[in-house]
Amino acid sequence: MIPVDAHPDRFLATIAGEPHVFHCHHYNCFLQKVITDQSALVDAPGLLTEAAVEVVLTELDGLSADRSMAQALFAQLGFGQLDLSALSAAGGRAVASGSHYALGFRSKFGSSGEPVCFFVAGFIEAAARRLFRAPFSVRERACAAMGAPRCEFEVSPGGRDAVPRTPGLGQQTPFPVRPGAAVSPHVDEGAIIAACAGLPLAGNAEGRVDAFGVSLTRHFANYYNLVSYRFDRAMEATAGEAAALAARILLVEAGQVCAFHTFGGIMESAEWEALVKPMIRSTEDWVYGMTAVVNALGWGRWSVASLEPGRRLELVIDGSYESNGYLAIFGASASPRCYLGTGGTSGLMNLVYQADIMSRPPLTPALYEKTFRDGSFFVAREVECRTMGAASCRFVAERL
Amino acid sequence: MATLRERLVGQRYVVSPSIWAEVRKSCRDELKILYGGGPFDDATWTKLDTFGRREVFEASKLNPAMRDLFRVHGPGLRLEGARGGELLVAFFLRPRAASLRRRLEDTLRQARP
Repeated sequence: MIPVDAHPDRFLATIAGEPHVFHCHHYNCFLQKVITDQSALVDAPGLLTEAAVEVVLTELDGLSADRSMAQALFAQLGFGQLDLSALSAAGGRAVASGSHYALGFRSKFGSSGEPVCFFVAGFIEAAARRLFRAPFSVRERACAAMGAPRCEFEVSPGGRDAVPRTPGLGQQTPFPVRPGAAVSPHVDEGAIIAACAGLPLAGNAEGRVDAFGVSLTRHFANYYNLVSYRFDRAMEATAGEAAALAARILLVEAGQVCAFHTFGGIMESAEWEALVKPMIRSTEDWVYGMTAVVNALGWGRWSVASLEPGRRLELVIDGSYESNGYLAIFGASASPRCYLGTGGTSGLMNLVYQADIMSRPPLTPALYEKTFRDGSFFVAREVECRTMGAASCRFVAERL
Repeated sequence: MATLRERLVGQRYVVSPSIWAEVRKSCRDELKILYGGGPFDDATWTKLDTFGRREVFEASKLNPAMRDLFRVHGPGLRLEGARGGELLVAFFLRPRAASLRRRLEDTLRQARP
């Protein structure tokens, strides 16, 4: 097992200095589709694959990884099984079985007309660069999302000469004192975090992380940062401020999708039934219980600042992986940048007070539409962001 | 065209007077069914051990308010739930999903008539 270093004081986890966060296929595939849907405006395959090369190569170098360790890392993180045995300095072929992205795409959107494993292609390119110390490029020739039994990749010598390093943990600042309302008297956040840390959350022999009722990955935080913020910038550079605004709305939507499926899946899981539900005394404790679980995902420290039942949530995130990464990669911002945090905040309130998650409803597309479109649903805005100079990122969710 | 399994998603039925079942969409190519009611006590989980190897996560040692988490991994299926909980999550793999589902529900009927 490749060691994962916990940073409990920062609510983060790293492998060889690279921050990792848990996300499920709903977010991974939706975020990717947000970007590929704009292929007329941005180089979606390049954007998705190049970011993967950067984060994976940085980590493989940090691990001094050989071929078998690269394969083991892929499986441990929940991306499936990777066979790099046919790779040489002349290139060759790589095969992924049970690709998280391919199977996740099929499960979520149905069959695809084209390959979808952009991250996997980037992972393979990084592994080839690591193993042979030369540039390579990778093309997916067969994809399980299109109906192939496995995903097959052609690896060719050549490609960009230099690969940028990632910012690692990014720009961090001391955490302010936690709000007084941060935790519920009933919900033992420390025990929930300890329990989640003790669960077997590494990929199994098939490279799958089956936990919380969803298909999880322990993904690269900086992958999300690089693809999201580069997409945002590329949209603005190509089509102006209106396109950038559209990009931000879509990225917040991805956060809502994440909340609906990941938070919702967690709240309907056996893990929730065992670890959290026995401590819940009120509807509001569902909000507290979920923020406690989030604090085990490596996303930074989430705290409830104030909660008016059924009306308003003010949520603070200290050291969000989004702000850590943005500040380190791009510096200060003139607008809020925590898109996942924004969508997560509204999503959490909508699950609890709109979708009646307590009754364990099926998390279908129809329920998503009803929850986030009908009536006076919750919308969130980031009112303070570290990228704009604030000490913490602060979100407010209120009914429309 | 939706597959049979996709058309079954959302179907709810009674397994026994104390247990209901609901078909859910799985993240992968599995048949996922939630069993509610119960409670699924130690005696029930002992009967479920016939399906495979049980892993126990002793959450109650972290906080007595928490319940121990059980996972049974067996050929063609995975069962998840809490000791004394009211939810059992079952994942059935092809090609034995139908027969394993029937066997599981027979076992649940015996445990919680």
